[in-house]
Amino acid sequence: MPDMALSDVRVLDLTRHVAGPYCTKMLADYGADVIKVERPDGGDFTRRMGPFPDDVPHPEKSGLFLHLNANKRGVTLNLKTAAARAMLLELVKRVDVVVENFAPRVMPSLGLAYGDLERANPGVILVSISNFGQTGPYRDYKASEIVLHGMGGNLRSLGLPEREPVKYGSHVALRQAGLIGAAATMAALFTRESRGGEGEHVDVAIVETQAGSQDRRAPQLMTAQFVNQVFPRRAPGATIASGTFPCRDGYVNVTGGGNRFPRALEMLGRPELMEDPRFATPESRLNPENSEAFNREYLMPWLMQHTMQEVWTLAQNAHVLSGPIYNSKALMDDSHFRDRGMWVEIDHAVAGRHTFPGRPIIMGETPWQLRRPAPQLGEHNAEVFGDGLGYDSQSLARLRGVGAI
Amino acid sequence: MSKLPLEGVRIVELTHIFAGPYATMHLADWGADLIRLETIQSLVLGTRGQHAKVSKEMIEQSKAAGTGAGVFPNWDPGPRPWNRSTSMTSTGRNKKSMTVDLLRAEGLEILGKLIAESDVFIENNVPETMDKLKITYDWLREWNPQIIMVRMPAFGLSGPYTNFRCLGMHVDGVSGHSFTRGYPDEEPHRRGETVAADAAAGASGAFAVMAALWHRRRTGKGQLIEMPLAENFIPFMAESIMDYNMNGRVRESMGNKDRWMAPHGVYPCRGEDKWITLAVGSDEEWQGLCEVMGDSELAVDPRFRDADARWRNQDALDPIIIEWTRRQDHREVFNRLQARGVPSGPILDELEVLEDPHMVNRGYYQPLDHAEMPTIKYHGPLWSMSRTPNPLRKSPPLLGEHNPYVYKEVMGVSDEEYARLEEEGHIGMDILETLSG
Repeated sequence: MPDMALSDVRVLDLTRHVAGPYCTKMLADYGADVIKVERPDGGDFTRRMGPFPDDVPHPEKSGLFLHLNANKRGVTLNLKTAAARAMLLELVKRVDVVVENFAPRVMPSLGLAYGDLERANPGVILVSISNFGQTGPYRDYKASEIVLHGMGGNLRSLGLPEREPVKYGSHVALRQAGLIGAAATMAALFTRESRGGEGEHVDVAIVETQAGSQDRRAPQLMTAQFVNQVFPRRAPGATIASGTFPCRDGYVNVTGGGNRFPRALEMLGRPELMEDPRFATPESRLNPENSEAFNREYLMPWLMQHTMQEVWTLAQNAHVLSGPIYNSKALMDDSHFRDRGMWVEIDHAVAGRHTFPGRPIIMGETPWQLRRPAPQLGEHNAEVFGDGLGYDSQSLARLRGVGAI
Repeated sequence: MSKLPLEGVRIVELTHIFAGPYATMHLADWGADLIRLETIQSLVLGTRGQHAKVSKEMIEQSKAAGTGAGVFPNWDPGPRPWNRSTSMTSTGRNKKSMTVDLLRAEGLEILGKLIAESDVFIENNVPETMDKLKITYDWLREWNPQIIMVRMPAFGLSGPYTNFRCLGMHVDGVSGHSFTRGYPDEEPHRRGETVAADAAAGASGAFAVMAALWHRRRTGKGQLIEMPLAENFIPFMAESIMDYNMNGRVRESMGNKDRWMAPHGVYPCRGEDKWITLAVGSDEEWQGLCEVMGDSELAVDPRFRDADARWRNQDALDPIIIEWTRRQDHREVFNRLQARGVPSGPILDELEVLEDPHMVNRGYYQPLDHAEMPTIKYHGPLWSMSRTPNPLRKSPPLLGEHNPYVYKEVMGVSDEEYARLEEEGHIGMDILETLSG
């Protein structure tokens, strides 16, 4: 098996739902040994979220869970019992990093504050991913994807000016935060090394990862300060040769304004429009009436004569920025991604064989590998507690009996 | 005092617009000696604005359009508009800028000498652009066998789309994100665009660099990393992809609704364009909401008695809630809702979020002085570390600001040689087309 970038990193993963597991997924995907800890009664909530094959809910068949947790091992611990907490601290002694995404009051209330972990293992790094961070007036406030996207992120800027803002699809904000958590974990591994092995507590506040996000939010923080005003949601098609529009078999996005405008005319086969006074100068093209007229009279009729793939190719030939609005079927059918190896089939003992998104990053020397499917609930209890911590089968049976594992 | 994690690591970047500069922002924030390769031959579109010369009329049109595009501090582009652009301002802090004309053989050799003194080269160009410049992984390795090269094109180094040009919004479209967000009662072109793929690429790019550095410190080996924006972002769409793969179902947008929670969404508040989000799941949260609304009848309404009933009857429930939220102040009611354990938050505009008491309390925003711009507040690093305090150090660099540092200190170029490179248009702080009239 080729060397992996993080082969020498051991991670104890107390996370659940999406943000934390996406962080530890990145670490596991690039080689870290990640032990995921779940509660014995039902485990991670994403086991109940689906999608499920044939829409039949089953805790071992959730597509979301199976995707987020491949390459991790799984154990169960009921951290409300003293026995389980003692076992957890035993595991803490054997890892480099603990990642958690509980509400900030939870870990201290379980006797698992950073200081407690540090007493067990002075080198341990604790990465905490939470809604609002470990300090501050909103520390204990409750939130979710839409709440954090609205407070920290760019939700106010998304949608039609005359309607309510409309959020990202799926759990985009939570996954962004998970990626930031993975980068933060790497940073802490480096500082630990330069400090002679002393760990530290890393605080990832999802609301801050949103406020600093380069999905236009951070640039807009600058723009607002430049002129002490905020701007409305942008009406679609408000700028020349730019926006999302219907075409013959779907929808496409085209960006052909600014200095690219002559290329957009080339794409349309209408170079003579450069002589039209409405479109002749950068200034005239910034006029909303002119840009709206151009889109309505020239761009949209042309788009309706072409398919998504035709528009995309013709646009690229003219060096106009463009892309189709794919749904999941169109994406799965696309040979570019299929032939590049974007998809991977994963066999799972209970869920069966399904096709998942594979590697997000191609590391030449230390490639992504599928080492194991997502764990069944408590699948590695015997391996981790038995072989790893030295509990015999009788003790494990007793711990099961008292609900600790 | 703790060293920053990337102190002693030198990174050279040839990145543009959002994704690349955002990846290197994290690396610069956390201590890397981050050197941007720029040019004075012409304005490279995007990162330093759209135009090297900005006329009064263009400013007037930007004001009239009111979209937030083409904005400069106090609506004044100044003599060097490229030092005052929003894109550069939002990702440039803690970075250094050098200029060199890479289209000339001499410029390429300057880059080679810099690579010999560096650890990482990162770029987000269309692959054919890099081919034209002759900057390949093999070429970099001739200068530095341990170099780590990170390439972030939109669609990868192979395949039919390899040289397709696009921005984050097009990657959001191709990846399936644009289709799964928007108003369920409007057509897909009536929703506006998102550029979430750029943000995802920035975070992953920073992770990839650090993972490769971690591996190199153990093995001495550098490597080539390929991170297409689309392939890094597609896994964000796992739920809809897996529903298609498992059930052949194409998921459409649910707007602001949730698959389990109700009430869930964006609700109008008092004032113009003021909103609050609600994400109510449990019965406790629901009872908390009813209590803050002061509506004891709603609390016992059988249509909304449990999570399942609330979800099924959400179309009847939302108007009742809207009738109440319309009379509330979005920031004031948020604290009352949270006091009762209701997950909710005001939708904050940019000026509001800059003043948000929580983030101000955490010291998230920090002012930095800048030679050609007013002092403004910048957001802090995206995470904090208990034993590694990390205040922002330096405002975004002027074009070519660090030429003396890079050429003389890093590469050991003599004063005479420096003067010659200045003469020949490699080194400078003004874009040449603006000087020629």
